[in-house]
Amino acid sequence: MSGANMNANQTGSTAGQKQKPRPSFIKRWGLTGEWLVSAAMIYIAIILFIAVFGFLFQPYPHTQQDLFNQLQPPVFMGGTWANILGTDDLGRDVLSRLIKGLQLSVLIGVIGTAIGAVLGSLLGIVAAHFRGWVEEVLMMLVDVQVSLPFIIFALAVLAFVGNSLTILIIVVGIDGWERYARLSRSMVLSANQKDYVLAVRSLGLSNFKIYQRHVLPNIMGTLIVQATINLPGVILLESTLSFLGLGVQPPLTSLGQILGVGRDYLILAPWIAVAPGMVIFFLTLSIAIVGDWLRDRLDPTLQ
Amino acid sequence: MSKTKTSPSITSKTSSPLFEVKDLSVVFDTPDVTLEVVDKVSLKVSAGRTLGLVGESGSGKSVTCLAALGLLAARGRVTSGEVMFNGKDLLKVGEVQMSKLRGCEVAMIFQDPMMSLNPVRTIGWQISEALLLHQNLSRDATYKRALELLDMVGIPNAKTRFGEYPHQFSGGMSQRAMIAMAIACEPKLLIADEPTTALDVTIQAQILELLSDLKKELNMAMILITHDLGVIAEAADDVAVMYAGRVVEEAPVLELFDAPLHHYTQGLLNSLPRVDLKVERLSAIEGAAPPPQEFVQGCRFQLRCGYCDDACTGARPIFSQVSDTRRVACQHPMSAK
Repeated sequence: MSGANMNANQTGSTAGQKQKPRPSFIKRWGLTGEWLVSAAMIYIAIILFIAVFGFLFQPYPHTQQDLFNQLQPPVFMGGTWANILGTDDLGRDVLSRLIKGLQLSVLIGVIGTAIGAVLGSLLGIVAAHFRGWVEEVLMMLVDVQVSLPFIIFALAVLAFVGNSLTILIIVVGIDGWERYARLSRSMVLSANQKDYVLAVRSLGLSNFKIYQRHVLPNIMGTLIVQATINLPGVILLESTLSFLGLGVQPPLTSLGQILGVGRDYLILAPWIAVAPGMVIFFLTLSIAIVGDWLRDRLDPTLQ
Repeated sequence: MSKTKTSPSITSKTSSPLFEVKDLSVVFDTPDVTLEVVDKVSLKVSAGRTLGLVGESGSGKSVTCLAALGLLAARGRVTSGEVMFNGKDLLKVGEVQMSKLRGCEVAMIFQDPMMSLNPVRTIGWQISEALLLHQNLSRDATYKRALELLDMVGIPNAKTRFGEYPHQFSGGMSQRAMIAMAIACEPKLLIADEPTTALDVTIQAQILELLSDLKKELNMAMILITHDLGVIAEAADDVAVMYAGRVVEEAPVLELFDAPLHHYTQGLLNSLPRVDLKVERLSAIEGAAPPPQEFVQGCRFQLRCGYCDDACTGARPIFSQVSDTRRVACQHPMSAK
């Protein structure tokens, strides 16, 4: 079937003239968008590469202290090439810690988002399929989740259950499931009313196959975009928790934790906080840009 | 090709219909009341024939057919009756068996072709799916057969069209693609639920012609649901007129147009524009078709009928068999000419 899809892409451009694609927010800013999307993708690729292979060119172990060398400025602020991004309050190399922290932040972000997306979407589909009391219970849970400030919930769980990386990932993953659940429920409800579902049912497709082959592909685009909106949120949530001291515990480190430590030295040594802050900022922005672009790409009527 | 496939047991008893609905009743459960939207409907159609099912919106045409194929889902439930297809009662075969029959031996096409195709899949993908669902074909064979089907339903440039998405298809082309999906397994019965309502008049004629060609080619039985008597005149062999959840009259198409027996049928025909008669103003049937919660005792057409008397308000009118092929449910049928 891949041949057929290739074919579709070729003919897509000619028939696309009939419908004007709705411009994405990037285009509405007057930017052509293409280079921005490319830049965002390259940035994400670099971040992912560093997250996976960063340990290969990490200058020092992230825990190595050098108490004679505290708060050294980065090389472009008068520091030395020994510590390109300077050192922190314990004389640890900021670049090394950044690489190590990035690894954990990306790991938590990606796995956390996946947990929320899969869990939420499945529950949404279940609610829409079974209706009745199943739907009511699930949607009630959604309402509870929405009305509860998640950070309080996360703090409570981490305080009571105790802290480990696994628990942190699960807690961060639970954040946002209600958005997927609501989205997928409403989209499945409306998709189930569509004639094409009736049409394939009249062709003899089973319920499972109808969801798998027809309904899911139709709502997938929206769910993926929701995931890209949520991913920065998850990374930020992890950063927030670590910043508050309840997230990743030393000796492990994450971007948020470095940021939290850097807060105390914001005037004396701004680079400790600025370096992870910038990485988080550009990462979340890039994911949002790529998500927006993906939304346009995944909808064949907008191609 | 399909003629050779039909088993001898069917050809030997050609007189018995391929598909027969007997006294089918369907109710919709609402929180307050139970609405009987289909009330003891009986229909039959034999191979190679087209049954036109005509009636106003909400008269239960579609619901009857959906119920017969077990497609009502949560919306309604069958309370009585049987649906015989090829010697089997479709209401008793169970969901697994039913989904094997659907699309394979019984297929259905729907009113709005633009909505009946999955917008995120290519036309070719969807036709291939219909093929692979009930047949064991290799990739190449599926592709070839799909192109053949596109060709059969009159879609030009089948190779290019195969990889296109539904939004790149016009309404008529989409309906052709839907028909291709429906006949992918050469069904014995095709139910067309207002197949031309969403289309231009010129396209309507083409689609009807295509359907009747395919019917002959594949020796299918066809049920054509419509509210358009023009479509009936063009494409049907027999007609069943439905009103408020009941069949009120059954007749071969020519006899029905020549001499309707039920006053409702007469009213419908009077409201048709005629090219052979000069009429100042078309007559309309007074009032509106009642919704299920306002169904009355006795004949359901009584409130709009000029011939209504005490007999009509009492018991449900029973069918009087006028001839082998004609029957009418009216206390005071119009005299046959």
